[in-house]
Amino acid sequence: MKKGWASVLLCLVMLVVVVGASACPRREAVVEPVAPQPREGGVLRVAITGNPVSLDPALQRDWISRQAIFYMYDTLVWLDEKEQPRPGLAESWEVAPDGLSVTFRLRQGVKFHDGTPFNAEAVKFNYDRMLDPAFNSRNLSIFEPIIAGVDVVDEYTVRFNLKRIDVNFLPEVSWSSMMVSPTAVELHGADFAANPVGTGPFKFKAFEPDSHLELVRNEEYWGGRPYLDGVMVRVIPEAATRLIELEAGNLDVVYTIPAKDYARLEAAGIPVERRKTPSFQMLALNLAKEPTSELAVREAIARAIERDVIIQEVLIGMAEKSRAGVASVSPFYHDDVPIIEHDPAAAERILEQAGWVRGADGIRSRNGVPLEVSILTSEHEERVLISQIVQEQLSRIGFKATVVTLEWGAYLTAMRAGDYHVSFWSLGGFSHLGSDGTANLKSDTHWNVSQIRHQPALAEISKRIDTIIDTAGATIDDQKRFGMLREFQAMSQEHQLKVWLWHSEALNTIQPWVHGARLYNYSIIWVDEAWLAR
Amino acid sequence: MRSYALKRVLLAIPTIIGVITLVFFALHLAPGDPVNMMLPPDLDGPVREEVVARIRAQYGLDQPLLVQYVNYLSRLARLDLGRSFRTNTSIADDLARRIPNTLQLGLLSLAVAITLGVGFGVVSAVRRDTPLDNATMFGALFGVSIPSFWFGFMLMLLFGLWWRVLPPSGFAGPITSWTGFRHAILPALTLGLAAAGALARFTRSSMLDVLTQDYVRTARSKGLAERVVIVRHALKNALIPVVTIMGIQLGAVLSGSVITETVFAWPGIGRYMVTGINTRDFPVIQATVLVVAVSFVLANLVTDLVYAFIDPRIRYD
Amino acid sequence: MTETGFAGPTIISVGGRIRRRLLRNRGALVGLCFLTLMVLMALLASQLTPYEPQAQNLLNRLEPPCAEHWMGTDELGRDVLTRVAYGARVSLLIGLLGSTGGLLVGVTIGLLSGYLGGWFDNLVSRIVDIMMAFPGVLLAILIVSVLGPGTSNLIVALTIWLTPAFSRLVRAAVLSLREKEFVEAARSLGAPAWRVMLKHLLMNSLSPIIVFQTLSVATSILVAAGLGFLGLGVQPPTPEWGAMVSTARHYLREAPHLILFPGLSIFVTVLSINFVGDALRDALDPRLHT
Repeated sequence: MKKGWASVLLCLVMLVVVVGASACPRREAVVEPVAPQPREGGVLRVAITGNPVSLDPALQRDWISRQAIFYMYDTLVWLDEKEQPRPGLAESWEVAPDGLSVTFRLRQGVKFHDGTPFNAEAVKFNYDRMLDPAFNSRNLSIFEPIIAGVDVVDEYTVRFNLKRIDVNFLPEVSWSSMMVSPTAVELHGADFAANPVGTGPFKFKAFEPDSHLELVRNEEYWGGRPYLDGVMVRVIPEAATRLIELEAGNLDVVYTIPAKDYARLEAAGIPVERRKTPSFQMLALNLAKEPTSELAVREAIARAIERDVIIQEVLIGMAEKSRAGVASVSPFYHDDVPIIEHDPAAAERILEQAGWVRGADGIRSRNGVPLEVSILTSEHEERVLISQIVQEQLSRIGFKATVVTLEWGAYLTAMRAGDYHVSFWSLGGFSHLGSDGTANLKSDTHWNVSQIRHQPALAEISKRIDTIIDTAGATIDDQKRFGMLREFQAMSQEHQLKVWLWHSEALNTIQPWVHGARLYNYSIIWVDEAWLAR
Repeated sequence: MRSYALKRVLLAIPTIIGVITLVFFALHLAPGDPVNMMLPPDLDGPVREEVVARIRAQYGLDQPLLVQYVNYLSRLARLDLGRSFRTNTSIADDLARRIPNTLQLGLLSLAVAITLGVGFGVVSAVRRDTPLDNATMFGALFGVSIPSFWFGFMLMLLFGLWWRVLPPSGFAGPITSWTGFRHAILPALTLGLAAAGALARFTRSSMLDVLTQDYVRTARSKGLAERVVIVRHALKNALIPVVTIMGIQLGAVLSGSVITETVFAWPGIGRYMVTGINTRDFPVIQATVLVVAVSFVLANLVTDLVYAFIDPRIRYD
Repeated sequence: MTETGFAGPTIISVGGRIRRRLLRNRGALVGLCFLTLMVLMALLASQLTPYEPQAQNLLNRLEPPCAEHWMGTDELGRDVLTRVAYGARVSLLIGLLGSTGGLLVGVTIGLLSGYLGGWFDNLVSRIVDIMMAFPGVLLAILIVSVLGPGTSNLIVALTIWLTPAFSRLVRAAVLSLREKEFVEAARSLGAPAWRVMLKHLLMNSLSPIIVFQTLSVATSILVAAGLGFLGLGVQPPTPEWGAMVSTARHYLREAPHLILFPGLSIFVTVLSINFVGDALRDALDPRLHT
């Protein structure tokens, strides 16, 4: 009996030892050679926060999906730091004098992973597919108003005929022109997403949804044979889990690091790359609903928010205070638009003058109507946090503010229906006058969020904004657009159409042993030339 | 026996139909338009109307609710679970890929639960009211009352980061392989421990029940060694009622997987359902809840039949 | 749980003995003490600290426990002790209301279906079967994901979730009592149905109901915590233990105290309720009455 127990115990101990030994982290100190020579081999392990919507680039346009599939595809052009287009699969391009067509000269000798050639026919095929309403591409609503048709000029020349002059055409192409193999699409039909074929540095191997996407080297990549054997993209939804894996050295590249973890990771020797972005965060104000339809109330809200403290303490300084929606990294930034600072005394004064008087409970009211606002938020951690802060800071100046948390779909429905007063809103994208930015400023799109078109008193302003956006899109002269944007910003501040908050930095980690990886477009990391030093 | 089995099987059918109906109407009467999830948030104006109408038609959402219900039933009868709103993939395929992952995790955690639960339950009952018993029951309550995600993170920190003996998270193929098994250990422990607590308490009381029975006293009075009495006579009979709650434990493991799989990035049906809930992907929620409920009904059916089979005292009419 | 065999309307005389036996059980005593402490904390929440549960201080976030803040401060610089105390109100209320809701609905349905039998009983049994077909908390998850998150929706979900179990429990008890002599006697004396149900059937099946009710308070608190993790629980900034624990997981590394105190509160409460419930079961068990 006793012996039996002892042997069981011994087995257990041995098991632990074996398990321990086999799993011991090979974490010798990384000795940096003086001039690091690229080394071949190894699999780069990347973590993203959610499942890609689809492996077919035409069926998604969100960041997470991009971060998952980018390695398999190439775009015709890409945008550099200055938001200028650079050659990708297109070696050069030419905009017609009238601005109504763009002709691309394509790179020769490029092959899809299935061996079929990349040429003008393939480009036409890709865009025809995205423009086919029955296919329901996520890019349809972007390209349908711009592109009239695509013509094959010769084997390596393709011309896009445009419906209107649009300065956002090339930036949009840089985002939405990942080329897929026409042969593979015809072969797999609706199942193409399960068998994706592109021209990129890595080829599809396997996809386990909610777990990982496995990619292997494309030996014949036109940009040169990649050093890495492959890329393993892991889907890890919980931030805490992601960080534990990162600290355990099990991940090489991690997107979207929470600002609060920056210092701890740096202290642990894990570098976090901070990158300013032109994305903007703001409080959308419902302009068509009492009491936020009132200018005085909106002005008070703008002055109640203690942005400096929030940026310093909650965002750990990883954001830039927004002047009026345009970040200083944007070519469209200017510093002559008034900035609205935290000024609770002024906020209270404005409310007093408008007749909102504090009651015994500290809540302001006018003619028996309490100053009540609902702060709508989706259930994302950061949004809930910011919404609670806004609630508290509004209640300090006499608002009766409540936070309403809804799940994302219900949240969007409530936003569209105008069932809110205040809501934290965040938009990424290119420069402020890039397609995402502009599309979101028009009264029938983004202003939906502020309900401006339902507010008769602001009809003139709404019309003016629409005109600005429409003409800006068709104005090729940068200086002229610069002026238009300034006019828009001034109007937005004068009428307090929204509360500009800040521009968050993008925080991503590339481990020190990864060389040659480049951060592109703020939140996508290029690894075609990357190699591992261990 | 045969007629009892037949009756139980027949009774399971209306239950399953009821589950289908309940889930369908609950989700379709819920506020919030699922179509919103299929559109980029910045899409609006006439293009939006057009796209919305097309999507509604494509998914049959423009039909009256009853027609949608009948269509849904007829598709179910052909084992067609529909396509995901978000990814447009076949849900039957998605589930077929994930069910084995959850099942492996479930079985492993059930093994953990049974080993620990029954083991500690028996010891506890035999050494009734000793410090060992008290400690065990305290531990069992601890297992029941700590949030499983906290426990999961703690295991991950301990074994994954500080001691680095096990991979903190992720899925690496079936648990029949060594790496696959190693990846499954922490989530299985997390899932199994909560169930072990409940099982230990149940085993203890069942064992105590048996230990006071006449045949155990007889066995003792015959002068048999205490160990023999406990293992041969008491344990065998005490475990019969324990079998009945196995089905319920399986249910706990199934519903616990919703949280555990999210924490450990495990690609099973729990994680699938959470994604479905977060994105209001109705067909996905519908199908997952359905599959889980039906397998639970079947598991309970099997345990009932096993119970009837192993316990000859039970007569059903 | 069908050990409801004791017959006769002797509840009153048994009462004193139960109380004595309960108090003799050390676990139950400790449990009762802790529960009293929790209830006191909930009642006196506003007197306990000089802070408001919602009052933020962004300059003082994630402070570890110190003299001014005995349990530290949270991600918005709010005092954790204050929030734990106010959280006791919300969490205990959720536990009590959820389980009481399930009790009231479930017991009513169970009584009627057990007493009336026939098609009504059949119908109820089928519906209960359907609801019990959802394993664990799945039904609660489904209901909250349909109704949307929030305190009242959570209570509704808990009520619906607990109803079938109560109903099945009571029905079983009633079935075993229905044919007993004293029930037959009451009926033949012309007592109205409601009287038979309430006075004879309900009063005599009280013990398993009480035990189950006690334990389901604990379960409800735990389910609320689990739903909090999925974003389906009580919504911020309302202080609730489960919601606090689930938010705290984002700060597990830099501020482990955030999860400790609300987590400990849940644990102690659940543990105490379980001790009391177990002691109640023993005290009410007729087989130990001799």
